Amino acid sequence: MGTSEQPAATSVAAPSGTAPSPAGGGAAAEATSARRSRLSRLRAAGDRVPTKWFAGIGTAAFLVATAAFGGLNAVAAPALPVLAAGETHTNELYALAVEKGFLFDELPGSGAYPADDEQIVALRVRFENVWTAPESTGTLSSMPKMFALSVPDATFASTVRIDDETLSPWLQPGVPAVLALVWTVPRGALTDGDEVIVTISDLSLHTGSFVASGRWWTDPQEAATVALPIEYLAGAE
Amino acid sequence: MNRGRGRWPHWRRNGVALAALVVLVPTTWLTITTNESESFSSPLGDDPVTAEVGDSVTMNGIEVGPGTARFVEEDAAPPGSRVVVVELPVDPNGDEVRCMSPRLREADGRGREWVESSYELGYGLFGDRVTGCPVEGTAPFTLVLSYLVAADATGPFHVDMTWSEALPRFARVTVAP
Amino acid sequence: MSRRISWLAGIALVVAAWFVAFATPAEDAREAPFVVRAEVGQKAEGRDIAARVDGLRRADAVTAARWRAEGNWLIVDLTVSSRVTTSGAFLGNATLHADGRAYYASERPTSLHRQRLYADLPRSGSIAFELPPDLTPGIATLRLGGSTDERLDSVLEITLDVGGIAPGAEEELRTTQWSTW
Repeated sequence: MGTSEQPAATSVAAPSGTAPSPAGGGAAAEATSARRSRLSRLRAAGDRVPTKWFAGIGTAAFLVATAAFGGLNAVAAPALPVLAAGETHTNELYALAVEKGFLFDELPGSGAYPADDEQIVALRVRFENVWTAPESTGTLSSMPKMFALSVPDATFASTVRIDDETLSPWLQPGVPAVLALVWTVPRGALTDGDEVIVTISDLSLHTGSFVASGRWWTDPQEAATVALPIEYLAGAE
Repeated sequence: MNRGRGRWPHWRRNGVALAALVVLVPTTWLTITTNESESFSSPLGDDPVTAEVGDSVTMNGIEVGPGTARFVEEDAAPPGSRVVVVELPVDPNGDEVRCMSPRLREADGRGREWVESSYELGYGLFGDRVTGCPVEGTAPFTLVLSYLVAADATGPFHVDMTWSEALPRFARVTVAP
Repeated sequence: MSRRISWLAGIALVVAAWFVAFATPAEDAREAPFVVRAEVGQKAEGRDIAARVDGLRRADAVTAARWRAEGNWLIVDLTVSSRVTTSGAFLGNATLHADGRAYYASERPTSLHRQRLYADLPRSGSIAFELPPDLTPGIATLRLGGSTDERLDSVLEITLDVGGIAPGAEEELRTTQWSTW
């Protein structure tokens, strides 16, 4: 409030740069009026800067500020946790453990049909559906989104139960099952004893709205890796 | 508030625009509806070309019918059911016809529909009955179709037959066993 | 005076709006299925499906043809038919709701699950549910229909009292065959 310190001042001064300062000096009144006129000078100066420059000035100020914190680069992603073979990884949908990896020339009954220049990589994975509804496991399901192999040109081919060879089985909630996840890889990409890195991604449940209906698992986020030695088995399992 | 010259001065000023709206809005609705409805056709088609009992249907140059039907006694038919055998001549007039398996539908009542049931009746896949359109050839042929239907189905029935080029239309031949 | 009335009217409308929002059905209510309820032994009829649960069994192992599997199995013996169509009618939805989770009938054995339905020509058989090893279901709900997409069609809902059933060592699924109501 721009009131003068001196009670003797008669006018209640409006804090405007253009209003005349109350007459009757005094150091305090002088300081106040000086402050006021500095403010008014600043305002006048601001009026002279073209408005469109403010955006540029603001951006420059922001960048200078962020430079103090290390700039706008994305933070390097933390390394993924490394699991041992057989160690359980749990996300919202499955508790799963990648147990072993195999290399085959062919695997009848697996639902995978390798061409002449291809071989088969099969992972034995133990699953338990920890969600509240059954989930499918074929090539069109959420399964291919959850696993990636470090082998170039590996193509996800099928999922099959180890015990009764049911193709693309459904995983019922709370019911453990051991499945074979099958990829075709170029022949010669792997040999017996090679190590394959399996990257496991976690999915989120997405609810359709507007033009889509239902719920499905999507949006893979890499969550863990497993290093598996590959065992070559010439014939079928 | 100038209530002067006309009672609705703003309507008149915007007359052209309003007239355009009155014409275009229903036209747009009609166009979009017709375009989108076509994609709702059922797999068998939902646009029948119908013939009454004793008549045939000619569609895309191919003549279907007239069909005949009879009830037959069949041991393999389970209790509560009966068998209808339909003979349906088809004259492709020089074309090839790859038809989908014709269906039998009640012409009235609930309109229940049944499928060709030679397999369920145990007639075997390679009998001498022609139950499907021939894979090759353009000569006229007669389909002999066996339908397992509910025991209380009396007919008359529609025999619905179509092929991919004819969709969404299909040939509906009426038979009365 | 009129300002007070405006305030009261405004508040009253806001309260009314709250009630309206409260009473408005959920977003997916307009696509909800038409549920037909029945008990075990009772025939339930939907638009294009009719079914009757003939019996319930539990087992530690299930056999069907040459297939066998151990587990915590619940077998539902049922008779089912469609009511209008045959060409597109299948028992595509056989879902058990128990303990807050949903289970689909197992596709592992050959069973009535996903078989074709014939209009007014009933067929009898069995479906089997593989349940978690530690679960003893009490009251469960069985939902039957043409598709697991239940929107806008009939769903038959049958209440099952599973708690009192003692599991057998091994049970065989009924062969699917023609039947009568």
